[in-house]
Amino acid sequence: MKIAYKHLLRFLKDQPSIDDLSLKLFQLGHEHKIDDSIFDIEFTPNRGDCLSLYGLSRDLNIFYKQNSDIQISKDDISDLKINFSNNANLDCPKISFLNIQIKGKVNEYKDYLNSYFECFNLKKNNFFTDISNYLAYELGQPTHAYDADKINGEITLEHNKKNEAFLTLMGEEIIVQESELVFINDGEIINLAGVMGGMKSACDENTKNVLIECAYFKPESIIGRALKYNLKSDASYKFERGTDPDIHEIALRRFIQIVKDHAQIKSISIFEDNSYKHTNEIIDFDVNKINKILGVNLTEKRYLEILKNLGFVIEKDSIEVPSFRSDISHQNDLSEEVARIIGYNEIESQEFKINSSCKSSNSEYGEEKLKAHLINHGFAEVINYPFSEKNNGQLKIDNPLDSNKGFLRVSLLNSLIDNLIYNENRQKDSIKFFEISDIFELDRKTKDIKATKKLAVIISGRQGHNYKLFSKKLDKNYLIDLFNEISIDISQYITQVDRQLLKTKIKTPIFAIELDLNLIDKNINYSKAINKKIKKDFVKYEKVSDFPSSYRDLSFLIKDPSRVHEVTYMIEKYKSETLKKSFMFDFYDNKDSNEIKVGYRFLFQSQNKTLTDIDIERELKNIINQILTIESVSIPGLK
Amino acid sequence: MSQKSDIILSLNTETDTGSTHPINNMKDHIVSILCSFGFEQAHGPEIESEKYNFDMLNIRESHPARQMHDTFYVDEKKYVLRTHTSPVQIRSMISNNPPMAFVSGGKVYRKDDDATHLPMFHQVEGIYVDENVTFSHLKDLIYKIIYSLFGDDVVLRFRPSYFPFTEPSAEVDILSQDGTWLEILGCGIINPIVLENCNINTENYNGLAFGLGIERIAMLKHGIQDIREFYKSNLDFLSQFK
Repeated sequence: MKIAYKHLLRFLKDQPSIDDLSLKLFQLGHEHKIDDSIFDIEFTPNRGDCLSLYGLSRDLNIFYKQNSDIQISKDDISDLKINFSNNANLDCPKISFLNIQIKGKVNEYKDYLNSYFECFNLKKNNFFTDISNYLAYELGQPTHAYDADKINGEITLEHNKKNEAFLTLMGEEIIVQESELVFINDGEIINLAGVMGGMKSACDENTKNVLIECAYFKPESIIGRALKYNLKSDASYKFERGTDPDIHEIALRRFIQIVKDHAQIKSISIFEDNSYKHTNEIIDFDVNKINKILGVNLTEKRYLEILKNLGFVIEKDSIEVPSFRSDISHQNDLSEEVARIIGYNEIESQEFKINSSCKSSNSEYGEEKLKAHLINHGFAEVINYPFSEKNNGQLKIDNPLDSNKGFLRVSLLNSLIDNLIYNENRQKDSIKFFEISDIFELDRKTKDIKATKKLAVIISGRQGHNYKLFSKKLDKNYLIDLFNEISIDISQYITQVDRQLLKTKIKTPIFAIELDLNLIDKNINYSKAINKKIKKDFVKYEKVSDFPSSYRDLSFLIKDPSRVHEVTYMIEKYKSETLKKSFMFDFYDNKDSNEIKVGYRFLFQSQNKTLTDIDIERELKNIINQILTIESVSIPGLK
Repeated sequence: MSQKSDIILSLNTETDTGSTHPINNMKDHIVSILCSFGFEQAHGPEIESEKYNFDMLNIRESHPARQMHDTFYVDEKKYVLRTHTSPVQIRSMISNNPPMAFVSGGKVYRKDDDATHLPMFHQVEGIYVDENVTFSHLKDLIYKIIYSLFGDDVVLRFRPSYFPFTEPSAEVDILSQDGTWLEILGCGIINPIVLENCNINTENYNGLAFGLGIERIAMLKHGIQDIREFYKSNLDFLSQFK
């Protein structure tokens, strides 16, 4: 919520600087940003009482003394004869209608009213709607202004009986669903209760006879409704977080006063329907309990001072919670109030030590060893979302993100296939992935959900990027050998993924396994598996390029074998912005001539663009020029 | 000749090392820090009942988190994909007697998908229930956790916040190098309503709780700007965490 610094100052007797105020707001838990002397405050959802100048200044009272002297009308108000039926008093136990008739012209807005619109760059609507909007900002109580001349006959508050079209005062037509809380007049919806009024009964610049609705709606009756109809409503935001049921009279008298400040009033009358049985919460006055929760030594005097300044009423041994603090009901709530005023950062810490003898858990021991084994063999661990589009009797998500993510996967393999294709499309020619995750199924007998921990592994392409593995393909035997090393026979679980079903032109075979981790966990030979290490050196990540990579191969003839290391060293040390990776993919030892031939692959990729042949050739030339400075090294066929 | 065979032998023919997913590595790192403080690791299901995910944690029916737009509901609203790891703590508190200290980490789900929010992310949470647990003990624990993660010279601040399951509640920020405050974790004194829901005698016992978002910590530690990178399974990304 946006609150202007200069407006807030009007409600504080002391006049803190904006920086001091900002610090205190943080201390009280009102996180915010400041832009052009306007606080944009993210109030926590339990603090509906702070959503106004009046409410926030009340929370700041202990620091800056609230100026609670609000100018309100003290006029006598006659009874309003209105035909109103409240058929939903569980949702709205308290509601008033105030009728104001004015005569003559509306004068120019006074500074306090005008400043509200100017400060936030808000469009003025009409006199009464403008007051209603300002009043919500000033006091936190939403009101709705109907043009009384557009209301005919009975008004009812009820849950509507059928879906019905409704044109909001913002000009949006929505279909209000059956059972929504609405105000009805003359057989039509005139207000989506607690959210937004309708166009038909809205005030305009000619309105002289206004009916102000001032209601207390229970938060649970309003929550989620603006979002449901995609409406932006300050009123529902406030009602959802709880408004003060005891503020209605002040709010309506303040409304009258603002009207009086700008126009001549002909008549005022009021109707109230009140079935709200509210008794303020009572909590024991127990400073020792507060000290025990916080670990502080607060005196009774200081505790009393804090509570009184926050609006609590203290009588002997009990504390009465004010009507605007519906979030307070027990000692821990009060301890938070105290901590906010002391300042969380001012509470000294005391040494934390666990007294219980905690057992260390080793339920994931086998899994950790298995992961370490796979990672040591070049596998990358992936984590995938559990959502799946296929419906083979899987558990259904009632409200999926989109229709092709409507079920919970029962196999990890499809996710790994997607991961593999994604990387093949990024010119990766050696892919080894694994994932360990629970899958969920409904046990048809018990009707309970059964979780099974699965391991899935997928491989395709070259075994590795060195001259011994480059020409070897990842295949079925590779997987068998990999698991044999830890004494697991997985041959029966290996499947070859059918490439024809995938959107890819690559022909390299794909092999995969997927199995219930519990099936093999007991059989893993731990002595042969290495221990998993948690990495504590957190590498700085380099942004992954979105542009394609290209490679070039070079073959070097080295007449003097002792120079081989100079070649490999120079290539390893060669750095440039576009050379991403290089590795020796071929090594030939010509025993007859005593020469060595090495093949190197250079992978190029830019962070900023798709590299052209010219870019790559330029970089390659630099590499060649450096390598050829080594004696006895040549590139056969180089022009 | 022997010189040549030495050259061949010394050439690098090792397979490239693979990589633990950076999120799992961070989760393990945080859990291991907490285990070194004496916390015991606990596990729980990712699909939960509303009772464990919401009711027992004092998250009432009217709370925004329970709306269909925030939570994934499963099987005709019989279950939810857990929205936090807190139900694991509830299960631990029900099946154990104080004093107890549990830590749990894992996947959680929220119905969200944009540049800064994912439908699945990871949390680590801990609870400690004993006699005479105070907010000042909680502060000391939080300092220890944050110093272990970010070093002893990091500047941090506590802010009041709101969680239905803790009271008082706090959020903790650290001061970044550019002078801005970054939110790191949420914590608080366990709301006695929650303890009572778990049949713990609140006359004798109270507790503290805290929770961290793993993606956020991993992003800070590795300098990752876009949270979506974690789940693209891009080898160019994953291979950086060897």
